[in-house]
Amino acid sequence: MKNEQNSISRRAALGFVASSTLAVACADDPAPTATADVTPLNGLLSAEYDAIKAYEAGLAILRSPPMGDPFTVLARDLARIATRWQSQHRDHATALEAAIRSNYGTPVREIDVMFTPPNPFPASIVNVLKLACNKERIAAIAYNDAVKAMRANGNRFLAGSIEGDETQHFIILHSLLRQLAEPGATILEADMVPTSFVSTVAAGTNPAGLQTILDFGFGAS
Amino acid sequence: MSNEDLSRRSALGGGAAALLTGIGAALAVTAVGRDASAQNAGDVTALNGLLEAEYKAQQAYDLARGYFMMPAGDDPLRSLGPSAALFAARFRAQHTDHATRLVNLIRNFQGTPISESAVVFTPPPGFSRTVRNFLRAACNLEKAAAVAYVDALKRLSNTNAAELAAGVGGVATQRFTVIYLLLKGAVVPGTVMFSEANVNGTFSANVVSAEGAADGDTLRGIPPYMYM
Repeated sequence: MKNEQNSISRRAALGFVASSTLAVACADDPAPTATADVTPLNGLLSAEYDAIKAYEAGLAILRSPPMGDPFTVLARDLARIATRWQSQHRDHATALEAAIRSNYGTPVREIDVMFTPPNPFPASIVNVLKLACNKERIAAIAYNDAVKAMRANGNRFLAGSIEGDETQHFIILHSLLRQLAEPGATILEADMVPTSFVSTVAAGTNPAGLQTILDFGFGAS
Repeated sequence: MSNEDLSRRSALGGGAAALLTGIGAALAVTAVGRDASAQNAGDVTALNGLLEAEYKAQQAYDLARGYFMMPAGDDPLRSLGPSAALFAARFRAQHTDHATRLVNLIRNFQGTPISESAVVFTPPPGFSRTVRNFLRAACNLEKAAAVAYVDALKRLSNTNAAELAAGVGGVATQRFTVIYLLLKGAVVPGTVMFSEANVNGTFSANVVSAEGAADGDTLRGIPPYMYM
């Protein structure tokens, strides 16, 4: 038993030395360098934080529209939709943060991103729709440009999967503003852009993509 | 050893080194060329898969548009037919544009695009011709296309190919969401008079953005809304 104890303590000591050596070796290793994709990913993350704050500013108007606003009757439904889309931008930000970290980068902080309303920006429901539409269009283009700028296929995939979500937000707002469409009698938030991503992504709070939405079946009419 | 000998050896040595460098460079170029060729072949396969889906979508929209222009007398959505026909024509044109871009890219990679005549759209089982069923079929196709374009980004190695896939996929999602919301009753046709100009103007962008695309074909060409 004594020999056994000796052998255990020797093993423990050897293990300690080995792990200490490893720790010293690790401490000496330089931190991995951020990949080139981190810069465009951080640009997209800044835009997501800006969008989240823009929707917050818009929601304040939708929840308490100016007296006499001609679209007051729509305000409540639009606020529900804006809340949903704001949360989708939050999902995008979460996924981008994860991607930046896995590319050895440091994500920009939400607190450092400031949203400044356009000038002039008279408070009205239609101006909230216009602001959101403009931002979604610019975001979609930025994502497409980032796909071209980035090198890793995984990062391109994430950008493309978010881009198609922004284009959905854009075209709904654009169609409403051009009066091609108007809200129906039954609006379920879950239907208003049903997923945060086009194709399911690896990380995030709501990573599901459109492939999780069931196909329509065919009926007699 | 004379200086002449030295210089001759040196010259020979230099020549051999130059020759070896040249061979090395040639081998490297060949290897790079082989890698690029293999990458292009992979991209061509992926792009041809997307092209096949574009041809199927074109045929589906042709069928749909034909029906929308003359819906059955007892079709409950008969009144939607003329408006739906305008959308079907515009969406069909977008798919034609996408197919053209894909064909050009495949040829740039020295690949052979699949032939349009080799692709046949078959309506899904249980399909009967109604306005609602054509909208359902279009919605299903657009959803699958949007996912396929984004998934292709996992494999495409060429930058322009990736940009195009993202740019086309971002427009497929637009068509999906509009049809989806209509089928779900979340939106209804607006009060404005539907016209070719209005529908085409709203859906003016064929791609979100793409190498060599005119601004008018992309989301860049849509002017920002002004605040009043």
